Amino acid sequence: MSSCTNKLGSKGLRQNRKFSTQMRCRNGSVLVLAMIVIGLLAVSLLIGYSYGGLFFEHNRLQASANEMALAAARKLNDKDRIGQMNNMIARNRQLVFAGRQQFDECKEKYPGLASLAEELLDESRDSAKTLELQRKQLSIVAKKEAKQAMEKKFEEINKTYAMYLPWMKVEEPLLAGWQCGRVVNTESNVEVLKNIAELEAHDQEQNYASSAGMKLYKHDIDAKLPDADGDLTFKIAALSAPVMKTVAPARIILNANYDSVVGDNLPSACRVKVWLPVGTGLGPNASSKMSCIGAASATGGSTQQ
Amino acid sequence: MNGTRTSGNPKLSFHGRRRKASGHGLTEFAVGLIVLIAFVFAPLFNIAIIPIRYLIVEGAMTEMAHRVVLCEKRTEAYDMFTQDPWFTSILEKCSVTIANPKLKLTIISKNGSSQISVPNGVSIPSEWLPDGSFEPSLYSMELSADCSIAPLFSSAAGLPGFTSPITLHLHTSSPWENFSRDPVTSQYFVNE
Repeated sequence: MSSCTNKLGSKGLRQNRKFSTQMRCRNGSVLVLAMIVIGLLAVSLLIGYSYGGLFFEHNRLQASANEMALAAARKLNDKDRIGQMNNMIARNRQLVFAGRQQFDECKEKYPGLASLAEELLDESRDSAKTLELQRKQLSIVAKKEAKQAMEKKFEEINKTYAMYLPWMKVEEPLLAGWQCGRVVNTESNVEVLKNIAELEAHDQEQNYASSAGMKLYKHDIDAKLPDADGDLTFKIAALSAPVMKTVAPARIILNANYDSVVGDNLPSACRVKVWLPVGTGLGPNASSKMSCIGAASATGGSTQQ
Repeated sequence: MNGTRTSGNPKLSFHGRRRKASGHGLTEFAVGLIVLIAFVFAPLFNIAIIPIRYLIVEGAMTEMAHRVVLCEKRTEAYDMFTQDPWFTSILEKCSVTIANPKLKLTIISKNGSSQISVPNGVSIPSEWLPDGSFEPSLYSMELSADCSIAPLFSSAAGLPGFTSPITLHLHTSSPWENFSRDPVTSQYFVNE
């Protein structure tokens, strides 16, 4: 600025002052304009990056949904309770079948022993009924504990999401719902018992067992026994079987590989849906909910002792 | 022009000079504005879109890597990678083209001293299986691709990143999830 004044000389000081004021104004205008433009650019980029960040919020929400589903799924087969229940049901079923065979044989060949055989049969039938009650109880307990584990995990993570910017608002996530089901293409963890040929033939005829590889009882079946014991319920649930002593660990699965269970069968997988409300802060008020679904499989059945 | 005509009268001359100065300032201001927008604002905006697109591509690749490791079998993971339209469609929306997409399984031994890469169609050597002699501890699916990220105003030729797409080799990985065995074949699912 001083160099400009020197160039104009010492005459017409007032004129020079006005001129120098004009120079200051002009230069100042461009500077102010440049600052405004750069400021606008910076703000628009900041807003752009913030909305780009929504993509990462979505990934984070997906990870949280997976984590919650895994926490719930791990609880379902805690201490192999579902695997053991499946095994007990299958063995009890065999016991009832064998008891019926013995009773029929005694009636025909050894009538004196028929009452004893009947007692044994009744005992095994009572066991089947008790086991069915326990299976229903286990279903309630396992689902309840899985839900508690999932909600606990949800409480741990939901406080970390809220973000309020002048142009964007991210609220705390909401638990939209959860379900218990099974993993597709997974049969039960119980191998078909091979000690009684007649029962094996019956299972084959009723298509209760898988045909390839390990002969496992199919998932979500009510493996009814023939004739007089057809009133009993033997529900066997889906659960990853131990193969060559390898137990399937609990894991996150694709949502497409999740399926619901039929009836009141025991679950072996969980699915969780979470919402994350997001909205704009500047200009027209727009809001939406990001949605993510996480699914996980329970730990597989352990090797039967 | 005004300045030339009124140069004889000092009052008019001063008045004229004032008008001339204002006009000159406005002209300078307009030119400055154009220069600022054309050579500063527009190029900056043009370049600034690249990091946003890069972050989206990086996120999409991470998401894709995470999706493939959730498959039941490794073959299903490769099928998903090549056939799932989600990945390519999201990149197309961001004006990103990918070339040489590769998906491979990398296994790192327990002590981290050795590793092996297993491409599609190749079985894992028995010593690298979970119960193998190398006691491998980390199985991860690695996804890599050459991603051409275009600026906002892009043409086929020019300076990469300014007027033409910039090509970056992106790489991401995610640990394999399913370590159970297939009851039908008794093989590990990761080896099917």
